[in-house]
Amino acid sequence: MKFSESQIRSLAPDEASMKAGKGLSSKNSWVTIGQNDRVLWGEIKGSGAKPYQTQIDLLNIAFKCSCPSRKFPCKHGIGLMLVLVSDPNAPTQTDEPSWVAEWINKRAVKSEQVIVEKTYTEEELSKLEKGKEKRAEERAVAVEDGVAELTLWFKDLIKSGLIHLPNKDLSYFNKTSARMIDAKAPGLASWVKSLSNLNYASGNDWQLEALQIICKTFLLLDAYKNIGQQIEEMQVTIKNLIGWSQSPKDLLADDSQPIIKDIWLVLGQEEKTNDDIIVQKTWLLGLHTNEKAMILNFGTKFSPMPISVMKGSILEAEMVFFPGETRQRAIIKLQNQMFDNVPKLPELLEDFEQAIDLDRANIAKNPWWNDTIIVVKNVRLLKNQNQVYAIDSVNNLITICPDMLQNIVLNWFVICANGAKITVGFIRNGNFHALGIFKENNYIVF
Amino acid sequence: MEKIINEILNTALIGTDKKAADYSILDADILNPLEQISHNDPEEKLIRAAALLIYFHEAGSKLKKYKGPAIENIQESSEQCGPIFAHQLEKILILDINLKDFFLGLWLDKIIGKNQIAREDQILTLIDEGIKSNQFLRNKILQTIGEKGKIILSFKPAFSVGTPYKSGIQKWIEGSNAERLEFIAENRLIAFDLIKKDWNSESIVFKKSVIEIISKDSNADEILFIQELYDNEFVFKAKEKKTEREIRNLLALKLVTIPNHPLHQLLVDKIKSYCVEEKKGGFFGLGNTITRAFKLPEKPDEFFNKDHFNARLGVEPVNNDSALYINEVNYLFANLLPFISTAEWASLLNQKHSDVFDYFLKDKQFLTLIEGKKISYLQQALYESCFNFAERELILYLFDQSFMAHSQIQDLIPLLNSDDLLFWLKSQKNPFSSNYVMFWTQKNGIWDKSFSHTILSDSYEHIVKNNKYTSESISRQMAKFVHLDAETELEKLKNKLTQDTYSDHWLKIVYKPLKEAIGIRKIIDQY
Repeated sequence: MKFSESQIRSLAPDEASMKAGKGLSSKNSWVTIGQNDRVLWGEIKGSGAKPYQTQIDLLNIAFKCSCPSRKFPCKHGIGLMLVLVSDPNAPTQTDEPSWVAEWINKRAVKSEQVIVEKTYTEEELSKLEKGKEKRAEERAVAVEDGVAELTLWFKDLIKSGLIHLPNKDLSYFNKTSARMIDAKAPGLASWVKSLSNLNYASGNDWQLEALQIICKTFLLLDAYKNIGQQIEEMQVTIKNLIGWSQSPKDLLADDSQPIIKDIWLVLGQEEKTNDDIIVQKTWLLGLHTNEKAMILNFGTKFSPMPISVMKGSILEAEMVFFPGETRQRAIIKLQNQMFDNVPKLPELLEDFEQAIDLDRANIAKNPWWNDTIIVVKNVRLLKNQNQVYAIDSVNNLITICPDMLQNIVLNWFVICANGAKITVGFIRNGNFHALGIFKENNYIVF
Repeated sequence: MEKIINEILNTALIGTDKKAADYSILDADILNPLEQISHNDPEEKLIRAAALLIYFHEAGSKLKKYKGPAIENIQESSEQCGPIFAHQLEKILILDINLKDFFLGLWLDKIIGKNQIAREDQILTLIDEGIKSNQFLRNKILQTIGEKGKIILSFKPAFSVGTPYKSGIQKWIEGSNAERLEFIAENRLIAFDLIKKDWNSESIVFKKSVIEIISKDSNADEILFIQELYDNEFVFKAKEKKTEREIRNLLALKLVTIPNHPLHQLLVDKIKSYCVEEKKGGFFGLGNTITRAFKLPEKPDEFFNKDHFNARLGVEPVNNDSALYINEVNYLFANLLPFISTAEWASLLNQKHSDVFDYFLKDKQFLTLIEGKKISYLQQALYESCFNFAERELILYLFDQSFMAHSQIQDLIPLLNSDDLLFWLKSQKNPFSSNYVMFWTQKNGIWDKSFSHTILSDSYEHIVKNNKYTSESISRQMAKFVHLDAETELEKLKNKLTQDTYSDHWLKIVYKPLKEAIGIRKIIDQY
């Protein structure tokens, strides 16, 4: 199995761990290195008498190391993976030693285990159902109050004029945001927060951006007020946006949801921190079905992000999508094997015109939609003064998403400088955020 | 559409309390649904109108079109470096900060030397590294990032290379004085023709710097040039600049160090005339020995006088330390001493080297009273003589003298050969915690095989056998300069290790960094 440094970097908990891992990336640092189809392992001398034992599950990426580090994965896990980048022939063993076999077998058994639900008596069931209904009613009332309060708050803003927004204290937004949390509508709280996160310091761009946020949120508030008139899928979408969470456990247990089996290319990843919570989005593309999926993970400074898939990897898996008006968020139900090479190219769009049409079709279904995944032929970058645009084969220009890190844009620029490439990314608020490119049938993830 | 959006936006900014929106400008496609969903609440109506407009605008707007000239592909004229060589950069960038720049310099020199460029995916890494590095490395990086790298530099204003980097002959033609001197040092043969061609138009300060360079390891042509300058341009003139006299001093020094040169011969003959025979030792005339001694005149004469020394040797005529040199003759003799090697003095005085050194440092006629202590006023002259003749006997002798400052020892260390350095290091209490090896290495570069083996086995002896901890300073020196064949010796020593703390320390401080460094250096070397 091949890894790239960029993939391994995405797994590292921080830059220091990556650097420390690089220090262990020479095979000479390791006492033993072994690998077979399902696991990579190694022993490395540490400060103790016994060498540390490091192991990596290659099918469902997971790490284990006997070192005392609290970081996850630790530098040994990263270092061991990096050994393979520089020297794929470094592993000299294929037979798993007992300490490796024990761990990997346990993981295999765990993933096949069927969750046995507790059985309840009718009385217990009715009690549980009543409790659930009561909580649902209480929440509905709280959310209704929150929706009414936020409607009023927006109307007050418009009445007094948005021009005062830059002078508002952060607490002005935080207070309303906290009221929405109290009203059990965390989704609405994030819309309020996004108003406080606008860049009020430079230029007047914030004016239209603020109005857009207010309009979209107001539309959501209106939609919630009329939720009974919406179709079931739309009701789910609206409730998600308001803040009802969707449980992956429930989804896995729900057999009614269609399962999409495909070879999935992990297109890229994005991490953002919001109120100390790290939100990680991973985008995948089904190479045969052309389905686009987004896996959402959450972590904090103190609880590491669960590792599910590695960006740039290609895996055969069964994906199940959360219900909603437009398919987007998904989880992996079953993962079978990983591939080294892209077996086939995905469906390609001719130009950005087609990409924009796709995005608009999604918005027409779901007005709060974002991040339309696209794979476009012949894209390169154009530098015009200090602005960088992506340009297609028919000279359509699209601005680069300001969220993209400068070095990623520059790296993309370098790769495309000697010819246009099939480029993968998503459209967000009318801008293009690149995730990777295809180069001679290899996917290079940014 | 934009005009209508602006109207709505302006009302939203000012506030519906102060300004009523003019909905009459809305198109029927927007106005009709708006009227259906809005009641009399002006704020709600404005938000809904804005929402409709924004969604309409987004759905209907067209992408911008590029109308400029066709975008050309950027083709590199140089080929990219090979994968194994390129991979060394990753290893280099995680090295200890004290080693990183050195190894990066080696890596860049090799790639520049082969007229290649870095791999595409390394361009940004190199640029970002350049931002953190010195100007010298930045200039090298600039030569390895190709055309693509140069284009993206406009996004990295912190990567400043100052004035554009000049290479080859450009350095001589357009460069600053520092760059031109760099060119001479790098291209001695080509540069010498250019020096002669442009000599008359050069400034006096630049001429002095050039002479300082070419008077080291001069070839026959350069010596002829020096002679010509000494005889003509810088011959003594009643009215001359201080720099002209200083240049004469440099020229004379060079000429005097050439055996059989008339100036050398003249000085030796003059010195001979001041040498006398003296009787020493024995009681009542028994066992007397006859030695030769140098007797300074009591007052200036036709040789020892400031005008003569100025005209011949470019010696500053004003005694600048009257406390140390109590008279003109002492001052002039201290200035003469560095012109004659101690080997020559030993022959003139018919004494062993060490006796000659003792003589100059202890003989009454060379002593002067400074702060209540009698010291030889020739201390500095002997120290300076080392740089002119690099005589190992004198250098090792001076190392043992208490008057020598630590900085003076550091300056003299590079003049020793590796055997002498090792001989002296072994006499030191803790040779591996000092920077002496570093000072020697700075001038002498890569260590020879035997020196490398000795330092390696001594480090092993010091840490593992004598159970002493040491700093990483010596391993950094080894990493940079150890002979590449020393890897075998390194492995031999590793195999001798036992399981104990000091073995682990040696493994950590010496073995691991050295193994990694040798690996990188070998690949760079063989590329």
